[in-house]
Amino acid sequence: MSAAVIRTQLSGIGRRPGRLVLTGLSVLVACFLVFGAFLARDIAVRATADALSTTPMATDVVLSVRGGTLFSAEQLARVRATPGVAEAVGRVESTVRLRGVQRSHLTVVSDPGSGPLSRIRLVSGAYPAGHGEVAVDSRTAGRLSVSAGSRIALESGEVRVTGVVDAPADPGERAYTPDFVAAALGGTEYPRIDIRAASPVAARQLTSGLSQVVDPGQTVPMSIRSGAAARAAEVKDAARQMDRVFELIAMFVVVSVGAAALVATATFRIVFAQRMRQLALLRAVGAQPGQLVRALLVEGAVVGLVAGVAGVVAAQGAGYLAVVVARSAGTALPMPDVPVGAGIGVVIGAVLLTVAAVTAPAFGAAKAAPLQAFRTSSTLSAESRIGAYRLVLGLVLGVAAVGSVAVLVGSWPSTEPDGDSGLALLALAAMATFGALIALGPVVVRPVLAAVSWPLRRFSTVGSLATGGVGAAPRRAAGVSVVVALGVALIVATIVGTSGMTAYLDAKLAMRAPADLIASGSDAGVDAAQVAALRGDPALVDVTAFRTAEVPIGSMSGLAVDLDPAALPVLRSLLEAPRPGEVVLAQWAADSLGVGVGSRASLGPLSLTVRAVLTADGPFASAALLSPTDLDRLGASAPVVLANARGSGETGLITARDAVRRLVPGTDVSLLADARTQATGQVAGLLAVALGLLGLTVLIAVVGVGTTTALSVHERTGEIGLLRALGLSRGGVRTMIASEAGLYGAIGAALGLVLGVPFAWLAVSALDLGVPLTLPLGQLLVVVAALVVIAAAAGLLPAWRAARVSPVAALATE
Amino acid sequence: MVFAVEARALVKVYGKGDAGVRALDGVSVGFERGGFTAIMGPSGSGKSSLLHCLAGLDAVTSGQVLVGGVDITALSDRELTGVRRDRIGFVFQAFNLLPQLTAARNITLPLDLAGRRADRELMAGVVEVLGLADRLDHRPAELSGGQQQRVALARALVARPEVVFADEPTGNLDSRSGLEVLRFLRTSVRSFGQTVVMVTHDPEAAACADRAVLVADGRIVADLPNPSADQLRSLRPPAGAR
Ligand SMILES: Nc1ncnc2c1ncn2[C@@H]1O[C@H](COP(=O)(O)OP(=O)(O)OP(=O)(O)O)[C@@H](O)[C@H]1O
Ligand SMILES: [Mg+2]
Repeated sequence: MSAAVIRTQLSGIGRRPGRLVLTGLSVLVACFLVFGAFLARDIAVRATADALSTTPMATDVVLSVRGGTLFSAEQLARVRATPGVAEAVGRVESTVRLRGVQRSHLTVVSDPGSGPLSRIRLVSGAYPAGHGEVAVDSRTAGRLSVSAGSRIALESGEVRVTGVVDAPADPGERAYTPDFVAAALGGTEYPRIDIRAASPVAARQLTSGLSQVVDPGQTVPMSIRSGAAARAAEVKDAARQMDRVFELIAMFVVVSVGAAALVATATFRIVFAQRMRQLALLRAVGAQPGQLVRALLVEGAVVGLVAGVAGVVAAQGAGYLAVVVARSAGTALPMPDVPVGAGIGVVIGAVLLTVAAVTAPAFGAAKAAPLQAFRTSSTLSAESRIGAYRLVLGLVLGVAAVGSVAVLVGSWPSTEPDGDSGLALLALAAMATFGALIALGPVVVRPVLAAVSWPLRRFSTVGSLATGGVGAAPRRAAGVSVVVALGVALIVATIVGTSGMTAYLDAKLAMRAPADLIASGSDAGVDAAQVAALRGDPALVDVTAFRTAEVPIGSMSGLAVDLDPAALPVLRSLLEAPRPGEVVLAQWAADSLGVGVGSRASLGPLSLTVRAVLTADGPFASAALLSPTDLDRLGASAPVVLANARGSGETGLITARDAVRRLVPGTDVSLLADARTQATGQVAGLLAVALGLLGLTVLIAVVGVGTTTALSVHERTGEIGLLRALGLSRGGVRTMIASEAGLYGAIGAALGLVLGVPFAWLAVSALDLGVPLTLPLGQLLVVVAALVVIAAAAGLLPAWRAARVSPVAALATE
Repeated sequence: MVFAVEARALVKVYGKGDAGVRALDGVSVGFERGGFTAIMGPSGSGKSSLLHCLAGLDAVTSGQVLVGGVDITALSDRELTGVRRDRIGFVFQAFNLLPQLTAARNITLPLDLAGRRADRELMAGVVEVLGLADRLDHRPAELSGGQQQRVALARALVARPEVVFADEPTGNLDSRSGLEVLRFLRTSVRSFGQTVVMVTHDPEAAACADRAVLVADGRIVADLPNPSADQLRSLRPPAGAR
């Protein structure tokens, strides 16, 4: 009997392959993501190892020291003289300070300049050959405004630039020169020697015999490796760094897999509901519920197997395709491996996931009363009531969520709980909330639908038909909207968190780097005439001078500045200039003086009214911001000038800097802009990556919207035919179905918004960094609108199919 | 004479080539304005096919269908949809109503789709006569089969169509509910001047009509004015003959 039941079910799959595709689609996409991430990691590790490798392919033997002693020039010479050695270069990277410019330095890298062991290529001029000569890469040439023939002033003398080279994209300002020059400049010797052998045989002999040559007394602990081994070690290192990135990606992939399971559950529920008559008929002729459950689980396993294999194969294909595309675009990437074991693992995972997803719907369907064979399927998903068990579960989870949030908020504002435990509590609360949402979904969906569909219902008949279509099956709407809500909540939380973080970092950076550049002038500072000249220069804007003074802050001492915040755009909104007799204090200064806003603070000889207290430090880590008159009384330093570049980008900065140098002879100029662009770039980059990864969850959710809509169209052929018979145009049908899909998205987006924002705020508060709570309404509305549009787009295919339903379909009696 | 609906040399073939079924084989028939016509015939004779073609629900193979003098076989899908919405009313054997709309919304649906307002007096009159006044806020699942069919009738009438087509409207009803529906169809013809074309198997039902058209093998074989049930029963082929 069981076999017979399974056979009927499976033959059902065979006759309706479309349903197999729909039920398996989310699992397929999930497998694609998992296996794709696996392949991407593999490709990325090998590609970065290639790109970052400091060991050229031609290197046969690598000698490196272990511990403090370095190889001497004399040892290097001995290696060169060893028979079988075609070429040997000392590898050293030393850092030298540039004269004048604050805290900037030049990294001098040893390189032979040509031949197989070189990592660079000469672009112009000549490669350095003797002491005091270097070549720079083109970026450094621009930064330092040097070219072949010019000189770079170091703290310890001077070097001559002989040429410009193309070098691997390494950070910082870099110069390249032969090993002995690099060692001399850095006052150091060689931690490593790379050797090219005359022949493969020689290479093998060298590996065993070299230590005797280099160090007969065996006083230097060293390692001798083949070039291949050295590169393998680099790959491993790259992999370790990559893995940190991929651990993060894996977290997001896991969330998407969870979303896929939810979508699969929802889809199976719909499919089983549509087959309720058939299942009820099986019950009526004597099939036991257990037999039905088993049959449906087998069906789930088959779907999982097919989807898993398809997902893995598709990912492998996409991997090849991506590499081919990247190569034709000029990026050299290695072809992906074919990791059979991992593929099989993913397929097994897919089967288990699908069977887990199908379990609840299977038990639900197996309870079909034989009588239901005589009911229509459309009345089944119309139930918005949920079972007592589910209701209790949802309420318990809801209470747990509220409870953990209450505990968290109750512990504020204590200084002692570390952010981590707070965040863990919050993560628990978020999971409980989501669980509650899944359990209570069908109940929640109706009011949310009523709210989000208002404009649709108000203004168009087709819109109210769409609303009716979604509302007629609240369980179904809940199943898919909850997944959309998951994706939206994560995205919304990320955006809210990042926007708070950006505001916080902006404020911090504005204090640390309030302008693009700072010039200290000669010993007497920048005089008034020079400031006027700077103000008149077309390369500069926002030129302002300020002075500093040391002030006693209680038992400590701090920096006071008379910077005018109104003169600099980034400070204008953050600070108000103190009037004479007033002071703006940094938090720590206010704390140690025991004063607050409005009270009086004594700073050395001054007694001032506290105008404001900053959440962190003042500009340039100052403790107090004063008016110029008050600063005079503290004995102000020589004036220093801040200015912004008028032009944008690197060129604007360089032009501005050169203008300052020209107008204020002998001055130091520091580019503060560097720090700023770097930090803001990082935040923007992180946000982009996070949103990209969260897009995976949204992708699964959208698949869910598409399949749900497709199944709903299939089930409502009669209804659509009736509407066509009554005069709804094809376009009207399309609009109706796409609107239904859009409504699933809208419900999810609304739920996600309502959950995401408070949780983001809680998380930001739990971190307790002084990050402000922001509500980036514009961005959030864009997210919601984009989601509704994407969801509606997912409904286009089913909508197009629905429009082809003939009006005669309404007359077909079953 | 101008007919509300007229078929000229109508041919309908399902499928292609040898496997094709010639469901209508050159049917020419006209339906007068304000007339109540019953179409009868053995199962598979082409009654439903005729109705679908007349109502612009299905494409014809050849021939013409004129609704209010306009040939609808030449219209695009968009225009045809408009004709169905504005000039034709339907009552089907089953699945007549949208489950998610209330009875009232179901009744006004074609008007809503057209962006027109219902004629309040007509609506009130129709609802009154059909005894639906206290059922307007119910959804179809909360109505009996007879009530559902009466809602469908109300929907067909409030849009004031050129013609109402009904395919076995009493097929799913018990004899009492069926009789109510028939009586109402009659009333609508008498008091609102509505044109009605109804397919039925039931000679009693057909006897309510002004005229009976008999179809067999895709052709019209008889056309009887003011038929009586006995007359129709005698014309019916013995059971199982087909
Ligand atoms: N969609 C279709 N495809 C193919 N053949 C069809 C189709 N619809 C009807 N037919 C065939 O056309 C012929 C006429 O069918 P039709 O439905 O018009 O008969 P009917 O008179 O309404 O029968 P009944 O009284 O049983 O409803 C039949 O032979 C039928 O098999
Ligand atoms: Mg029929």
